[in-house]
Amino acid sequence: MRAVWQLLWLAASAIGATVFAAPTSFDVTRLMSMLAQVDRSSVAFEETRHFSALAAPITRRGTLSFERPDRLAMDVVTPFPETIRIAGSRVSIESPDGRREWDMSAQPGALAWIEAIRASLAGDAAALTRSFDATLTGTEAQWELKLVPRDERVGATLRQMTVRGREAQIAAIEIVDRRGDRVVIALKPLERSRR
Amino acid sequence: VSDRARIAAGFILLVGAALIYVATRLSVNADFSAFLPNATSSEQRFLASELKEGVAGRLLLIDIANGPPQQLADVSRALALRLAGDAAFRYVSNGDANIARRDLDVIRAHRYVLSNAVTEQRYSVEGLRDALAARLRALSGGAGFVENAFVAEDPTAETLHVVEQLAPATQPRREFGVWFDSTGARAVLIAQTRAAGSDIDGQARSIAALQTAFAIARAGTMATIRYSSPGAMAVESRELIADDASRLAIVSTLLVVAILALVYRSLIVVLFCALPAVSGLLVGVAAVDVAFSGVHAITLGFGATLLGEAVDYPSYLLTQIGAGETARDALARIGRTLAMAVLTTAGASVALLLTGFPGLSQLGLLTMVGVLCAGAITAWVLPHWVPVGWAPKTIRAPVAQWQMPAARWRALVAAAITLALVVAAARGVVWDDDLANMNPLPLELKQRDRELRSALGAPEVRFMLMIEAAAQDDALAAAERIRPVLEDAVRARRIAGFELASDYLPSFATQRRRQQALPPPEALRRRFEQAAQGTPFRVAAFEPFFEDAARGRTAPPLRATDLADTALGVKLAALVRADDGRWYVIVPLAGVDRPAEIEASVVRAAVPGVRWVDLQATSRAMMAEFRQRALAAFGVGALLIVGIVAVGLRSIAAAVRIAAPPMAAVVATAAMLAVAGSRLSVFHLVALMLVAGIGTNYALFFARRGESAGPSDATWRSLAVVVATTLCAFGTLATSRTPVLHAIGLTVVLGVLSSLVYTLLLPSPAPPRTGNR
Repeated sequence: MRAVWQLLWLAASAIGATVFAAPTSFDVTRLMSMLAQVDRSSVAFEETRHFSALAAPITRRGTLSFERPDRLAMDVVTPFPETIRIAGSRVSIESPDGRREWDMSAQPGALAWIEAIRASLAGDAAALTRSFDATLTGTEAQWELKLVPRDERVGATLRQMTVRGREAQIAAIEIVDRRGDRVVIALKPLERSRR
Repeated sequence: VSDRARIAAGFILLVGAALIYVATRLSVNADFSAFLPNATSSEQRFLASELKEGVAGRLLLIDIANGPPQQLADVSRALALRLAGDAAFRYVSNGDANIARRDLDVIRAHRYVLSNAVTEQRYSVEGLRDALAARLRALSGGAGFVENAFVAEDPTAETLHVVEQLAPATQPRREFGVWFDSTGARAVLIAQTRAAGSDIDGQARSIAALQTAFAIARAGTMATIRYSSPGAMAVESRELIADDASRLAIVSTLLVVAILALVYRSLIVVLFCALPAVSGLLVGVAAVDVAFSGVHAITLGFGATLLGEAVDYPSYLLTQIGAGETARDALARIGRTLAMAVLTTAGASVALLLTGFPGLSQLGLLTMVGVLCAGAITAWVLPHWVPVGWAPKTIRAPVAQWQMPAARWRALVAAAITLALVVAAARGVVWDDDLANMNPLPLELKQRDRELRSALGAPEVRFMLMIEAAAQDDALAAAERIRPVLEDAVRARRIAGFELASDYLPSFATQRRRQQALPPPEALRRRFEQAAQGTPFRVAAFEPFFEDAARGRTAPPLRATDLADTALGVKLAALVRADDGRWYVIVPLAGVDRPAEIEASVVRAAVPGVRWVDLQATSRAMMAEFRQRALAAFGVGALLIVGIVAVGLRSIAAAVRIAAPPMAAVVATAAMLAVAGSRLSVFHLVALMLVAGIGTNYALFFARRGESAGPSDATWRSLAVVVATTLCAFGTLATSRTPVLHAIGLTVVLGVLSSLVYTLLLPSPAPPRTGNR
């Protein structure tokens, strides 16, 4: 039960990819095919949590990596060291407090999140549009992909996700929960490898 | 119309009425606790009701194998979903967090009375400051989103604390979100049936529902299922035994019919042979059903065995018919002996009837009514029906030239018995006092049950505390008082863990104390404001917390009904039971290392109503008591046999001589079984009872002679036929792979052979002075 929520956050935090692309007519399919060229990537992230219970936001920094087909890792440096790994539907958190592990396949809502983020990173348009209404605005130089969950079980916790980017590079992911609490993850490329 | 014809007509009517009754009104219950003694202590009562109604009997352990783990997890989830929607099941769990959602809601709603962390200190300014510091760190960590979901309503994290507090010490390993065994090759689940474990038909329906659900859940995979529970095992063993018994019954019927056909050479006469026993069984079963408002399945099985003796009655009559004689002439010769054969068995059954054990009493009544009816039909109905002029084939067995053995033979026999007894005594007769064996299970079922139990970390509990009180709340309060003792024992590693009902449902006093530890709304708000000073927390965001705490402070106490249909409720139901106006809380202890020490510390704590229970010792004591009562009934039965024969022959000395061969045969058979290493169980006892009945008949008929010195040809023919048919019937049973059928078959075969040997070797009594009319 604790895992239900846990996952929501993890899914939200696990993001990141940089991509190069060649211009043609710009839509979700086109954006996805640009993103799909990334095989693995590693980016620096700065995550800002705007929680209504707190007067000031919490900021976390570290490195986020993605490796096809389904591996995400987050090495947090501040405010304290922590490693989060996601492989398939399995999530583990290792911190000075110990190591905990969950399997999220039992949580359709939470799993949708992980898969939405992974689909963005992997450029999997089919998977993305299966569970979200995706709206793309802007140009290739500066775009914004808005994702609203279709499944009401997901909608019960997640209001919407916004992925912003320049060309084939994801610059930030913003997640807004049902109460309006917000997490913004800004990404800065460190290393990438193309397929 | 003669009197006899009227009597015959009356019996036919009686059997017809019994047939109609059995076909329409009979209620068979498969609850084997009828074969337990009436519990004398509250431990025994608890054990008996636990066996009948308890959660342990309803809990199905399930595993799913044969596929990649992810696929098995999907099947497990689909199966759990189906079972959760099935009325046959009360609760199902496969470790899947979704199913636990309702548990979480209940915990959240009642967190302030469930959490043992709710103290005045925790809700002081310092306590709240510590809690906020812990929340801030959690909000900053990897699980921050989780914390953010409830921080505003539960900044002291009582819900999480309760979840952790109630989490079992050991859980099965989890793969892809559901439980697996330790190897990761099998997905495991538990399901609780609505039907009681002793309700075998209800269990059979639950199993059928499980199989249907699995057939749908596994669609498209090669997954296979295994399951086990006391109820499921009873269903399966019933099917296995019924299957085996009906298969063997066909074989033995064919053999017996072949023998009878050879001797009687008339189909109609062969059919007559079945009439008395079948009629006796029908009337006996009807009588038991009327007297006990239902017949136990085991009574039926055993009763059919005991009435095996009645199959011999027509043979005794028919084999005596000489050429040119009618059946009535033969009856005139053997009537008195036949009457004694029937009356000795009926008399011995009275001893069973009077034991006071529901199961044994039923068995006694069934046997008594059954043999009386069978005897009456043999004597009063059959002679009318045997075609005039019919006579059995003449058998001239070489054994007919037998001369009564000399005294030295008898000495040899006595020596043999003595030897057998000495050997048996040296090895010791091993009584099987394992309660579990009352439900005769094939070995493979037991093995599977053990595997599933270890996979699910659900060991069979042997040691427990039992708390007895006048009210549920008093029992829960006592459970809370014993907790420190158990915590010490866990710290000292003398027990691995324990389960306390008061963790799921605290006593009213504890709930009130926790509610009172919460400050009044204004004070809480003030303290929280102070505690939040210098932290990034916005007090304004915590209105949900102030509301929940205010509500929790004055809420009506949590009751068992609030926990219905949750994992908590299931646990509670397993641990708390009302019986006869008293309340019982059991505290199962896992991994007990030095029981005597824990028992001593529990006794030292002197919490009123708390008792130490060793279930194994309790059940063994019950079984031993059962066995002693059954043996005592045996002794009384033997005396009754001697008494009846003494009256019939008008000679005590003759009666002792008649009774000697069957009793010697019983002792020798028990000795042989012991030497062969069998643990003697109630099944052996019942079979030995049959041996005594059959043996007495042999002795009676063998001793029955006219003026001539030795048994007549007809008597030899009688013995040859009844021995051959009995050996065929029970010899077939002895080949069964079902332990109980094998035990009964083997015992009767050994017993019949022993009876025959002793009847031939031991001195026969002098002919009765009056002769046989």
